[in-house]
Amino acid sequence: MIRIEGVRYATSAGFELSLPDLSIEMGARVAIIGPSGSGKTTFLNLLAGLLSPQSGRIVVAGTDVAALSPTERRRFRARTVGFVFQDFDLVAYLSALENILYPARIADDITPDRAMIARARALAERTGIADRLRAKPARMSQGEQQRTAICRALLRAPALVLADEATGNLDPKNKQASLDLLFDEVDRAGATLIAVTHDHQLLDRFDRVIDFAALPAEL
Amino acid sequence: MSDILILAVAYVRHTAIRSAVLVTSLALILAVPLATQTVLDAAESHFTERAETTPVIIGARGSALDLIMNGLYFTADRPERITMAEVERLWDEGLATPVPLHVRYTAGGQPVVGTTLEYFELRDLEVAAGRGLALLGEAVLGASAAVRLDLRAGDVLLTDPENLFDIGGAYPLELSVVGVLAPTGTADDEAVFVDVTTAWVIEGIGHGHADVVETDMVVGSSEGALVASRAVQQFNRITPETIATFHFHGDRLEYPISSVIAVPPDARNAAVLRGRYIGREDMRAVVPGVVIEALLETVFRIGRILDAVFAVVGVAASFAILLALYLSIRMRETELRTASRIGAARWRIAALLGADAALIGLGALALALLAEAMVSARADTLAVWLLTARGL
Repeated sequence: MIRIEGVRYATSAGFELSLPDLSIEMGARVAIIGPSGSGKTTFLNLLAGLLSPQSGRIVVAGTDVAALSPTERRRFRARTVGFVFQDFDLVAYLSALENILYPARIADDITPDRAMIARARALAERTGIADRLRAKPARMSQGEQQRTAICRALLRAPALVLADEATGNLDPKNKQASLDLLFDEVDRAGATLIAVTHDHQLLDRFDRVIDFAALPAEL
Repeated sequence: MSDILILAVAYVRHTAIRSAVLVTSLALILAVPLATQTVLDAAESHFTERAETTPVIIGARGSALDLIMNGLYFTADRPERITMAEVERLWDEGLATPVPLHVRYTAGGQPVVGTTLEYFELRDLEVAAGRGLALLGEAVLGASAAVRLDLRAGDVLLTDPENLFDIGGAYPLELSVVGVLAPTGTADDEAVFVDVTTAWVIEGIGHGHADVVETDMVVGSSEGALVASRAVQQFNRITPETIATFHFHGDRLEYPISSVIAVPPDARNAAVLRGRYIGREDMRAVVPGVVIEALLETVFRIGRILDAVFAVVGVAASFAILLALYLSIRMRETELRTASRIGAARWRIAALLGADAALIGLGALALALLAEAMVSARADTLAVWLLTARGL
């Protein structure tokens, strides 16, 4: 369960986001839409603990993210949240397999053991990039890069997967395929998916749509 | 291997050219001053040792340094020449054992040293292969010269003409290599030793030719001597068949040499010997140790200047390397931001960057130590080359 209660976030540059009280069931697929600058990405960053609200509570899987220290928030992100970025943000000098294992390599609480490497390979197998595990991002297609990014986000079996315009750079055919893949893997992991998107054709595939253009007082 | 190290190694491999340039640059900054100091130390040691084992060197007035460099290291420096009369005088006086040196020509680029058997005793030179000098036209090679020229006992070696276009100058003489000396780690390793009389043949003072009477080459007579045709056959190799035809013209005491090493039996004789030369205007007796000491002081001063230059260049190069590392971090900003967003601790990100720098540093250190070890292993050879190289 994700609960947002009385959250207000503002920057010194004048940006302000006040979120209505909100509850999201675990395992739900939620689409976030709205015009640029309406606070969609800020919302994801607040959920992930990358930003701290001035007031309110953000509870993810029983943890009040806003109340955590910076170090605790980093640990929370590492263990609870998986990210799929718009530009995938794969590490250029690593192979696809090492990119998938990257969250475990860079974390200070785990190291990729045999089981984790097997999990990475299994994810790659299911997403159809098993034969591209030695390739570096520069030699991969966009679809392959996105699949690698999805595998990376799911490596540590996170409770929450955040996707920020994850299909924004793909052609229509690949968009559907990637979304299928993302949904399949999120379902398999039992994770909650919150995805920011501008593509309204995809909205009917989500369980719930939140439009940031006109946020009500309560959702 | 730790995860951070795995990532750092992957980054270093991915940016192989950048890594190689940084490692090489840093290694050069570390290795050049070390290697220079090693070679200078070896050169100092050689300078001092060689000077200490050469009690007195006698030569024409002029540059004492030229005299010593030519006499001790067979360099291309050419001191004014003296004659064999000085050697005879030293024998007659009995104050020291004279060892004449004729250092003017080269063979295959190596200095040809005309001397007597006393020189081999003075330097404790041992023949490692073949035998020592016995006949006119024979040569014994220093160990390095033999390797450089790829010659061994039984081979022949042609002396180098002084000037290709000087047809009236000394003609090349074919020397018979009869032995190779054991390595000594001194300038002797680079030399081609011949008897001083062979050196005079190279110079053209002695020569061999076909019998002018038997070959009907007499074209006249002058002051009781036969005058031969210029077409008479000259020999450029001394063999058992031609050796008897070699002869010298003029007074042997007037034959030129470069210098004489004088070996007095004791300090008293050495002092008397040096005193004999104090008043002479054409000749001087030099104690190599004294001259070398003064030279080394100059070398040390240059060494200190070099150290300062290395320090300045090192600081400048270090800034360039730091800049390259900084730019490298800037290029990894996306990765670092991603690492931060997926929950990497700050110290892990710092360690990731530090590991890259550490790998570069360790690689450079290893390369610098390897270079230093290679230079150290060859320091003696390099020092001798530095002291004896012609044309430097």
